[in-house]
Amino acid sequence: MRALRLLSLRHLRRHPLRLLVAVVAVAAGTSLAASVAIVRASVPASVAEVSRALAGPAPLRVVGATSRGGLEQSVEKAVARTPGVKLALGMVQATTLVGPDTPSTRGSETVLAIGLDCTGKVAEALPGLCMAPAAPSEPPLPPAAGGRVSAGPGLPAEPSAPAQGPHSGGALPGEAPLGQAPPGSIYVSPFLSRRFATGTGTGTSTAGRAGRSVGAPRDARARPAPPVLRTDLGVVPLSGAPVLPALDHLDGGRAVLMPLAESQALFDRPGLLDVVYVLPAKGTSIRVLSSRLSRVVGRQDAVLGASVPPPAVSLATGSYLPLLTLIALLAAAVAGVLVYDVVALSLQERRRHNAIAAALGVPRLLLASGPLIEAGVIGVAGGLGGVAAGALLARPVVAPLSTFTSSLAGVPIGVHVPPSVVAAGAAFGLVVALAAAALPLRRALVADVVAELSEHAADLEVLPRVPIRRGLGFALLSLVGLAACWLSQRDGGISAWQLYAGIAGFLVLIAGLVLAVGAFTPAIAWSVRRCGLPRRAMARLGLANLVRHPARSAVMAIALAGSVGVAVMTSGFTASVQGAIAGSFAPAGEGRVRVSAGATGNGIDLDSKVPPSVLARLGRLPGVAAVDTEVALLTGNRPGNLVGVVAYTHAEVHGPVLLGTANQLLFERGEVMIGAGLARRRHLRPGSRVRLDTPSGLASVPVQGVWNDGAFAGLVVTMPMAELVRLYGPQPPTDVLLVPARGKSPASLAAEVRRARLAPYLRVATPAERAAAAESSVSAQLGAFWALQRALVVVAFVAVLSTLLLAGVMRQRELATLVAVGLEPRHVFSMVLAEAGAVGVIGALLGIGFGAAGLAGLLWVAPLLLGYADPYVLDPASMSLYALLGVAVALVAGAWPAWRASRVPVLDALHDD
Amino acid sequence: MPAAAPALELRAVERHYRRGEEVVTALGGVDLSVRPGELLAVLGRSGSGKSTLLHIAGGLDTPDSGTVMVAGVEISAMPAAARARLRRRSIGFVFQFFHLLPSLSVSENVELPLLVERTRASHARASRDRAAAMLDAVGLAHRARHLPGELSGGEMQRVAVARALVTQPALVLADEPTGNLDSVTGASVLDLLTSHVREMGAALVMATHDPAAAACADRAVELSDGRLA
Repeated sequence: MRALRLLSLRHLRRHPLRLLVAVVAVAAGTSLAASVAIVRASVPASVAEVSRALAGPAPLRVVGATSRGGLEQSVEKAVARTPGVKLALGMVQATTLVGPDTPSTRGSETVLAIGLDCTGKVAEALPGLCMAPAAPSEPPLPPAAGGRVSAGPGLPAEPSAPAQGPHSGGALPGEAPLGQAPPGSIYVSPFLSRRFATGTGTGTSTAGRAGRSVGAPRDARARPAPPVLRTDLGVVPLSGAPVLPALDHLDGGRAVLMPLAESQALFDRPGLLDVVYVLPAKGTSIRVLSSRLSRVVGRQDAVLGASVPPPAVSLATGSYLPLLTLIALLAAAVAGVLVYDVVALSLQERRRHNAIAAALGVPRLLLASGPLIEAGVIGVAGGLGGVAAGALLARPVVAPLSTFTSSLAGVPIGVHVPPSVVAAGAAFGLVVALAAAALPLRRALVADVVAELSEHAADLEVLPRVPIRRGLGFALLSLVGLAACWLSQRDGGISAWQLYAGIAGFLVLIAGLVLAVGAFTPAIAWSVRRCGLPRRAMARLGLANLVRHPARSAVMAIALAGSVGVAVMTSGFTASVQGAIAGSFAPAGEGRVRVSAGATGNGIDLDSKVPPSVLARLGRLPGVAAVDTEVALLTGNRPGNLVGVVAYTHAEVHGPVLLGTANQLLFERGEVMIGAGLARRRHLRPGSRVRLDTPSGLASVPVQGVWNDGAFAGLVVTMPMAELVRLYGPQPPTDVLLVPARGKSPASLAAEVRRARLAPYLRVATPAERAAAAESSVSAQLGAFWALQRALVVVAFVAVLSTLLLAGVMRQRELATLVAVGLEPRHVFSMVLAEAGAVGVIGALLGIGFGAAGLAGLLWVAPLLLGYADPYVLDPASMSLYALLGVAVALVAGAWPAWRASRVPVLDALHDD
Repeated sequence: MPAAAPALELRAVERHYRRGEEVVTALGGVDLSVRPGELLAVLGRSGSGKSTLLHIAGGLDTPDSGTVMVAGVEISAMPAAARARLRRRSIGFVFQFFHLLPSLSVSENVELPLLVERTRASHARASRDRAAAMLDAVGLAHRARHLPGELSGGEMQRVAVARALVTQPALVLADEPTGNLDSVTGASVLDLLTSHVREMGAALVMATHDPAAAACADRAVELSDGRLA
């Protein structure tokens, strides 16, 4: 042990800066992988959190054939009767909006609207949710619409709306448990109470005052639009709603609670439930109970663990996380090369030391232990640092995912860092560091001791061969990957092999591009020097250094090219999708007008719909030729059997088909069209029958043709509305589109609808506005990629900084020689900065090529993963911006190493010999 | 430069180092003058202060007291950048371990002191020509495109000599120029160095403990414990 300490560990303490640089490099490289692991771990943790807040310690839940109203109420009873079940908690979990009653959703919150029957055993099991809330501390305002569901001014209350609001008739809110509360009672969280009272402009915070009524401003003169709950039947005023503290445990209080019957009425789930939570009897095995329940519920239903994410979440994570993982692996590879540099430097410094020790008979294993321990310390510390950085990075990555899962499944994703991820981060850093250390260590152990001791090894460095051929080989590999990507989308990509070919091709493409960047960087520097460029001496010296250490130059260029390339791919992908969106909408002056209940897009499960009475009024407006409604459902309850089912009131099937026909007559007879993704996954062809999960069991419908429909990642069935109603019952419209009468433009029709003031919440959008909203939504969904791209910029910064710092340490004698022959500190500074700038320029240019080729591959593979085929579009503005940013990052990162190099201790460095 | 000014003049130069609690005297009041064109050998055992003398003479280090003048210009009080400029233009260095830059070709190594000076294309051509002529003079024109790692020890030292002389300096400082070479190669390199220094009329100060090397000099002085004997 003492020998180990003397020969190896003391070395670590002598170079704290180098150690720190290496740890930061590994942390930066590991952080991306850690963030992806954290995102993956956060999904089930967040689901478990929501489950716990809703149903306490219920370890199981039963879900149905569709994510909204997928279970018949009889399932709850069947579950309750199952041996080993203590309690079955059937619930409605609608996702909707609470906010001002205006067309805009600005200032609104997406909330989980829970419908629960708080009677008997349920009240005992869920004392928090079923408790009597505190009485308001001051008289509430009268409800905005007398407590009735309001479809709009001048419109009758919707027939299925609750008869009264929570406080109409002077009833004091919260005097009784929910089950005994007046019909129509809706409870809000303290958060919502504060949020909307604070927003009134009264200047009075109601924080901590549980009894304060929602939207009850103290100053009536500044009274804003009162808050409402949006539903499938219109809006429900929340003024004066009682406050239930337990609701603050759900997504920070973005929740409202109401009796089950009210929720079924308001959210159009007649006799249906969204979920049944299962509390087992004491001593019951969860595994046994789960299998017993699977036999009790229908084949179309599923029994899931409390933390198993809703299947719909896999729609978001399935295509999203693999791409993020790929970017993370790139960063980890960069970290590995940085550790390689550090260990190689460390070993180089120890050459003489090790040679002397070897000459004295010290075993090689002992000599190897020092660098290994050094690499291990760097790896573990870097891995832990990476987890910390990953937790920060995970926030912007999770945010768009959470928005999606909140509106889709009522499950917001928060950042959770479980101990397993911390341990995995440390292990990952350790493995990367040890793997990176292996090669230099092996080389060091077979070094010629005699040559080292007799100083024959000095000055025998030979310039490595310029790896042009290797670069061309990697470029060829990229082309092979690109070709596989192209093949994967041929003929709609409906064969199973095409998915695998596409994914493998994309991986090969990215690997080939990364390696090609690494090989071409010194080759380009060499070529530029061969052409006599640049003329300035210091820049030539900087370029010479890039040629001299191809591996070191490669890691800097790969890190920079990676950040620029991902920016080019993300911006290009955004532009491509936005271009496709713009192209899919009719040119100005044509097209249909969308009407929605506040939401900008078509959140398939956002229960804020245009009520039937408003629909009827819309149809009677002058200038409206027809009202076309779309219904979209997500069916299935396992990631492997998710299918979107879509129907339109005026469906016309035409357009290019990949296989079969698109015959209107056959369609109206019930022969459906399916997306390419579904055809590929289930090997369906025209003439096959597609099996669908419905609340009442399994159904199958004949397939007429396969077409390019990207909805639900291509896992979609388009059927006549009558067929959908037959299988799933009447559904509220997901989308409402008004067809303008002949001679009427969409813009003038939109103006007409707005003037009609059918309901305050009604949102009207022309085709151009719909395109803009869709484009904005795409940009938001790509936020995670931008977050990782920025992290890659940081990785690139660290890579350049640490590599040049280490290079400065290794080149001390050369730097001293330069000073000895008359170079001034500013010349040395310029030389290192020129090296950084050169690698920045080369990295940025190769990054543009990397991104352009990667985008081509991505756009070919995207239809397989995402469903939509988009045109190839590059965004020159973003490309230029991020290329310049790459160069700037390299220069800024090079400044400190350049400064240190300019202050090289000349005499010490020359005396080292 | 005044016609009669010595190529190098040291007056009462002292240099001390602290090594832990101990103060080590590297140079203790050295007075030395080297005429233009004179070849001076500085003899002494290892640790006698030879290298320190050369470093101070070349402006790489500064004395604690005393003055150092190169070609009539006092350098001991100059800022580092000005000393570097003077070194680039008026002083050539030859080291025991050659100190060639491995990333640069032989011709680029020789051209190195000129690279910083040149700003225009015509200057670039001129400096390339001078480097080529210098390489030719040391018999290595055929190795111009090679890298230092591809040369023998003697060839590397000849490149180092060419680099030291390419600016036609007034003063050449050589620190054990044959110390890392076998005797035959060392003699050949020494012959090359002295003949070219004489040819261009420069002064040479050569630190060595090789009597054969000292015999080539016009004059020899001995340093012992930082003092001239």
